[in-house]
Amino acid sequence: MSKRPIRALGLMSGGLDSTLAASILQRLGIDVLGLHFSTGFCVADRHRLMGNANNRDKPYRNDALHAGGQLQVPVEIIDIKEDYLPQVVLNPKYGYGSGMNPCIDCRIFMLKRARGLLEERNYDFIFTGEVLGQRPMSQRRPPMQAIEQEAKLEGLLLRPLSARLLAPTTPEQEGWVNRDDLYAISGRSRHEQMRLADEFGLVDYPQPAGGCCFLPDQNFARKLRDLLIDRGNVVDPDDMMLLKVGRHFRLGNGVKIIVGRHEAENDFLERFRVGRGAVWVEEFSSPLTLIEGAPSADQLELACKITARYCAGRSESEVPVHWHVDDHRGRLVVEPVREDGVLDDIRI
Amino acid sequence: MRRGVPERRQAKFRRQVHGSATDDQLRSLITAAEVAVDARGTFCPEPVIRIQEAARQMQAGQTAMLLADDAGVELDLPAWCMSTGNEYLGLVRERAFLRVFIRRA
Repeated sequence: MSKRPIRALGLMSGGLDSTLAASILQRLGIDVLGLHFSTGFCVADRHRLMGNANNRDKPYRNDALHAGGQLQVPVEIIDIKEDYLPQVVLNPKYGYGSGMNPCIDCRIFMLKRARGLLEERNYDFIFTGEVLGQRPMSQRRPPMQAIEQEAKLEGLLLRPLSARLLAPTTPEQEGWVNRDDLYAISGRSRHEQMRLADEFGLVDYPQPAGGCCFLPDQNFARKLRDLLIDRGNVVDPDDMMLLKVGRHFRLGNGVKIIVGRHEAENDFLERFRVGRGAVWVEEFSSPLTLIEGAPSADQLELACKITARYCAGRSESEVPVHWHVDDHRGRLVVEPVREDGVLDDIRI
Repeated sequence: MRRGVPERRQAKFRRQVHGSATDDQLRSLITAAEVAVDARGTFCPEPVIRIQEAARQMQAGQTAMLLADDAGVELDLPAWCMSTGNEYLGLVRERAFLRVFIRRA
């Protein structure tokens, strides 16, 4: 009877590190399955939603799938949006990084999910593309150990890029992989990874260290905090989507506007008009502004003035602005907002 | 250590992106595909998740048609097929959406 091949599950973002980790194991004869967790906070997803601003006919790709295609490693996309927000983003045991990024809790959450699949599908171990010392929050030695323990993966979590700097894992001890075939990469420089990519013939990969998550972004974090306070932590996936686009202004409790910054954002906002108010200018090239909540007459007028400020007729003394809230429609002639201070006070 | 053949991989990937079916074959699959998955109105990665789930229920050799208006499927479905070993047959452009065809391996 032939011996079953050793099988490994890996967390694959599609970035260079996880692609290399998969490639290293694949070259060692390990049967690899990549898991790509969709959190709803992926920067690449936002680029894709907006399309390629320079070439609207050339869409962005999913890097994890592309990496899987290049390596011929199956990649499974797992949607964790529903649980991720309440369980990870809103209640992180290990706290936040520079924005609202709960990197350690995020890692634990994903690895727990991966461990569930490991047991369910009879895989042997889990791997990641983590590099010791590369990221300040989750890729230092103490948090890496904590992550492994919390996910109950002691010994079963292999980090091929830094393995020789870490304690030997079960795959190494059992001889499933030879420790000498693994790497001792550490730190923030990506030179060694790029050299390896060259050696492995990986010619098409995303720019390293580009940042793949919105949560560390200060601007995004500010908008998310504002939304959570306003809604008492009750938000839905559409709310999360809308945080990724446009200029956001808080007009009052429960009332916010989102002003598109260019055609792609306007097209995107158009898809979310159902159930929301809208403001636009027909006489000039104009942003589409969405209104969330039920605005008062003053708030509606301010939304019109702000929209006029960002339309091509901003230098006119008066601009006719169209609005639509619930079943009501109308047209207001307003003076565009002139003073930056007015906007700064309400900008989220 | 087992070494890959990157150039061959790249060439195979390029072939895969164009799909293996002719335009006429794709047109006939609009009515003949065994499985239809409608992901219109959803954004990445939802269309791929839906075809992934459909593929789990399909038999080897069966074909599926994915309807999607997220332009990213044009790149993602070939990559997904390449990674999973399923066959990418190609796509048909309708006015407001794409029909993308795959065959379960």
